[in-house]
Amino acid sequence: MSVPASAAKPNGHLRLLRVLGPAHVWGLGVGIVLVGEFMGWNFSVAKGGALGSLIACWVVGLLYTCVAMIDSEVTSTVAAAGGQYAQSKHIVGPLMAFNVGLYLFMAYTMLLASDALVVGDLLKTVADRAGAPGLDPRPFVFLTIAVFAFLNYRGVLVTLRLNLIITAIACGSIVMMFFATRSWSSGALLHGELIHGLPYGWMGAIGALHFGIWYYLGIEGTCQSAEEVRSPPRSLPLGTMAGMITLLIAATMTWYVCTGLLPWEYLGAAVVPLFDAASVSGSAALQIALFVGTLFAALASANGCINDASRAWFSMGRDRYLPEWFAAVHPRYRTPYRAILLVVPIAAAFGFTGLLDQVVTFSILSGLLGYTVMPINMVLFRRKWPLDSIKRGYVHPGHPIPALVLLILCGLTYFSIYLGYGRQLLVMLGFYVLASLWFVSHRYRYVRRGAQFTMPWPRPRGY
Amino acid sequence: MNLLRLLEAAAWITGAVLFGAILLDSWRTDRTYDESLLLSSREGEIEKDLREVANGLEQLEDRVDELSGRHP
Repeated sequence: MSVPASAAKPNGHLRLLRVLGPAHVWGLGVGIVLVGEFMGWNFSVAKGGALGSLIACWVVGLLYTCVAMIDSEVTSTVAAAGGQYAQSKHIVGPLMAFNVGLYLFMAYTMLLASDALVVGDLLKTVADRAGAPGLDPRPFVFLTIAVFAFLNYRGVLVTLRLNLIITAIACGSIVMMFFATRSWSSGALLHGELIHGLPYGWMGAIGALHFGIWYYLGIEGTCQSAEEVRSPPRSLPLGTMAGMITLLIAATMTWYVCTGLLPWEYLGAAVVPLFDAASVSGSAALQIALFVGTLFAALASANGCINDASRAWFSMGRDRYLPEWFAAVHPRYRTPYRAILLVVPIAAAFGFTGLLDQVVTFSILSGLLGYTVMPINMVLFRRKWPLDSIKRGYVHPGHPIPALVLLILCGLTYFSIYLGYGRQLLVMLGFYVLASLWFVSHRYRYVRRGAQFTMPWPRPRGY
Repeated sequence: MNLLRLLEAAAWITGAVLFGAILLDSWRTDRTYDESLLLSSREGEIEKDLREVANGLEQLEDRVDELSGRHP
């Protein structure tokens, strides 16, 4: 028997719960990214040497600082689930919004699949080292996805509280590594002997940008929680900026310790570089701490990715960019439960392939396409609604310099990816072109064209 | 059956139970509640309510000022 709307809620409406604070936002952003400090970033060392990797770390850090600044300004004004999708919808138009929503969903779902793959591979490695080879990682891939889907289904507060704790522990293991190796004392690390300039020249440094993205990929996910944050104008800029600062410090610490302990030729091919650096230090406690840190970082990332992918899909369903069926909110847990359910089979299917590099590249490219749209959004946002026309929770300084820098660095990173994964780049662009054609020819007629604009803004300048 | 196979089977079963639990709850929710309620979430709704409250407060303050003679 169906319970009618009026009986379930006095005003007949269900909403996502507004229960999150800046610490949850920090945990969500840093949690998604931090796994990249434990593995993946070091492939930039193979491309450009240790110094090339540091250049990539800081150049891509600048790219993401621009992303965080732009995101903070727009999201503190457009506080809605879907983050960059909702921004594009209000500022540019439906086709751009559809593409951005799809980039977000694919970026986070593929990252979730990668995180689950990493957990499975880690456990397999532990079993191998313990003298029990032959562990099948697939059940653990599925278990990781199912556990966090279950948590996300049951409520956002407990999910992001847990995320905050495991992210803080993973962060703590990097700091512990830095202090345990006495990185500040002369002779503890061997940078003088291990770093040899740019072995492949500046082209190597540009090639390293592709994997430099691992240091920060996903920090923009903080915006997805906009509708569930108690005070978006305060919490979102604070959580995002604090997250970005944390990542810049953690990335530099990671690079400093690893390049001072491991030769760059080995580091460039290592699967778990921080864990290997801990092994070189000879401390059993440090090895355990770094294993726990690596595992927790992968779990926190998987958790955050389910949260973000489901919000992106949910908000597109709510505006009927996708079937409205996905826009359901659970009456008890107040989560987008159908969108959460959808993420599970897709992520599991990609996770079972075992193709970590391909799945991660799909995620990176989807993320990068989303960043490329941001400068356009920002310039149009300031042009259509100048500073004095609407109230903003945060105004980023130096406009339009961050937008221009972001656009230039995105171009450079595309070139870097093209050098290593040119075919994948073209295939993925083809996928998004096909999806856009489907949207224009079949889906656009269902979109709630009037109701999708929810912000109380004046008409844009020049309207 | 050795320990590894046991661990793998435990992981499959736990994952299936958790996913099955949310599938079952989702099915029961769909059967219990009206679809119009489940799909009733609207973007920007809280902001709209807050604006209405703020406008109401402003009107109330004006009325208090008016009654206390502080308003022309």
